[in-house]
Amino acid sequence: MGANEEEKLGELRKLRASRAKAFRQEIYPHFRYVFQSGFGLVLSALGITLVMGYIRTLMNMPEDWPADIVGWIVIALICLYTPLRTYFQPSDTVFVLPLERGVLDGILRPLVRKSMISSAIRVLVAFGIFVPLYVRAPVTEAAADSRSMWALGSLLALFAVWSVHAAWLERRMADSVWRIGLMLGRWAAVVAIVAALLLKSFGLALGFAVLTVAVWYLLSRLSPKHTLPWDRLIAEEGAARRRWNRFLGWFVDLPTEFARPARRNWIAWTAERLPWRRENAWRYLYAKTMLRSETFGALWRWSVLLMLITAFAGKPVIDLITFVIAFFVGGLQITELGRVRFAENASVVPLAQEERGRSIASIARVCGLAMVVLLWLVACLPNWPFNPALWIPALAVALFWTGWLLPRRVMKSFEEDED
Amino acid sequence: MTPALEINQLTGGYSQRRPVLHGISFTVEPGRMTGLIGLNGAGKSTTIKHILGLMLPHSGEVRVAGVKLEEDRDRFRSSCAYVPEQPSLFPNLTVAEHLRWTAMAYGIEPGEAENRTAKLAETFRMDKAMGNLPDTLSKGMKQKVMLMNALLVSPPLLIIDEPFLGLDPLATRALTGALDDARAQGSAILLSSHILPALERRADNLVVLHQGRIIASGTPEEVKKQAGGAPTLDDAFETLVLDAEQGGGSKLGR
Repeated sequence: MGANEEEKLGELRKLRASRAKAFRQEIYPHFRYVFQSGFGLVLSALGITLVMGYIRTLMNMPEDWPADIVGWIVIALICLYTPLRTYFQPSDTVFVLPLERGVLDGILRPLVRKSMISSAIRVLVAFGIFVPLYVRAPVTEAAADSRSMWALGSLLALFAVWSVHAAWLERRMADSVWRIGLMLGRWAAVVAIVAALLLKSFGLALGFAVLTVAVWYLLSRLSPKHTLPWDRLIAEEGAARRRWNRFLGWFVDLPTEFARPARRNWIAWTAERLPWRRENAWRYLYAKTMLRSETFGALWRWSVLLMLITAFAGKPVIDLITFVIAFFVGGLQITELGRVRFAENASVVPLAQEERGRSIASIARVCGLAMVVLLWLVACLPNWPFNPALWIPALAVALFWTGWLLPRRVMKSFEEDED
Repeated sequence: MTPALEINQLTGGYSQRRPVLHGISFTVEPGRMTGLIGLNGAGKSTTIKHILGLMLPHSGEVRVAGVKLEEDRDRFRSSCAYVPEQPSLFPNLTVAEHLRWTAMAYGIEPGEAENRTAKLAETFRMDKAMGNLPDTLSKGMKQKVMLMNALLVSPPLLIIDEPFLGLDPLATRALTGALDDARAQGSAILLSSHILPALERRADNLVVLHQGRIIASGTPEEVKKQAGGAPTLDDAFETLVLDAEQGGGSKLGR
């Protein structure tokens, strides 16, 4: 590699590092709100519960504890996780394409190697935690006795490294049918080989793993490959950003360039039920906008989570507190509808602009009331026969909040922004 | 017959102190196509914003189908449809839902809307993309959706900014056919474009704007004559602009 190319490669590495830094700077500030929302508490509680459950299980291992299934699922999932953050952007196909060889040797190969090492470490850590359960659980005791834990751990780590390399080859496939076929093949291989290595005769499992991997590599040679799969890596980078966006969108209102509408056909059809009248045109627009927005996604996930909590808590007081938190916070999420803005084509249609505020309020009311009714039913039904002195006032407050206060709040927020 | 668009002595722009348009006047008759041409910054977009009622005149008036915005806002808005140069779609509506929303907003009956939508989808070869959200469409496809929305309405006045940008040859042909149909049905069309040969072939009239003033207008042949008998519209435009910059100002005084 000449001095000039080395210099360009250095610039590319700097470019990637600066993009990674920019991405971190973009998302880190949102974590403050994620933790403020109580997610941190839930996560901590979950972590403590898992650690306590782990220690309790080790100290007093139940006869039927499913160590085989738990180990199989956890280790297989870790082996299947093969991310590759390149921070590529669509413009790179124009500006960075001429340096393809340099990008491949100087950036991507080290990235793939790094991903292999990370994956191996993840598997080793998970296996290290799993080993005490594996050797003590009655269902896996015999299998554990028949193999060396060092050998098994090393093989699983090696297998995780293979999975990362195989995922890299899949990305390079020129034909998407082959790419998807090989990906499904890898998934099936991972699931089968992890199960075999943990639970079946070690020698046979080893033979099966070698044979499966060899067949997979042979198949991967049958179809042409890109040297550097630009489009795939750019698409994966976009998908990774959207996943972060979706996760953060559960807790915070993200800038619009970050959000992407979701189709949500399962609920978006409800807007079609609005009668075909000019007066309903704004309602139709805001209903579709709401139903496909990240705000609705966050509201829906929030409601489902709290419905699950109320369904399984089984204690009226906890159910009531959860119901109150659910409809209040859910209502606050709905107020985001008041911040929706459209381009100028919405200003030149023959519709009264002053109707927009009222339409937003009516969509917010319908969403809020639907959420309250669902939450209330799920909270009440497990407590049947329910205590009317507790649940009727709770419902009345919820209806007042979502049916009267909330729509006014949304309309006010819209009108203030319009001014 | 009432003109589809009538602009009388319009002075306007963002600032009262520094208007962009200086007393411009022109009309667009029903069934006619008028091209609005000028350099970047000549005042084309400002003129369109005034026609759409997005900006209010400092003086003068704009009438669409005989009414001013302040007289009858609903009729004024119902009488024109607009396609901007940059397609701006609602991100959460599919193509079909855009057309449905437009039909609702303009008070078109469901059955009629369905027929027109089906015809437009076929004309612009968008049948398979009707269920797509805008983020899955190319720029040309987004432009087609904007055009389909405007043509669905079939209003007295269609305003299209740079209609041919981003369209493939088949879509360009479909658009010219659809515009001819719209004219045949009595719609007036105001096109703002930099592609002068296309306007020379298709427009009935031209309005040449420079620095907020009309420096020439009439049929393409008349505009070429006003430019000293230039052989093409490109040549005529260059001559007119250079003359105006050399102190000629508004040749027509309007």
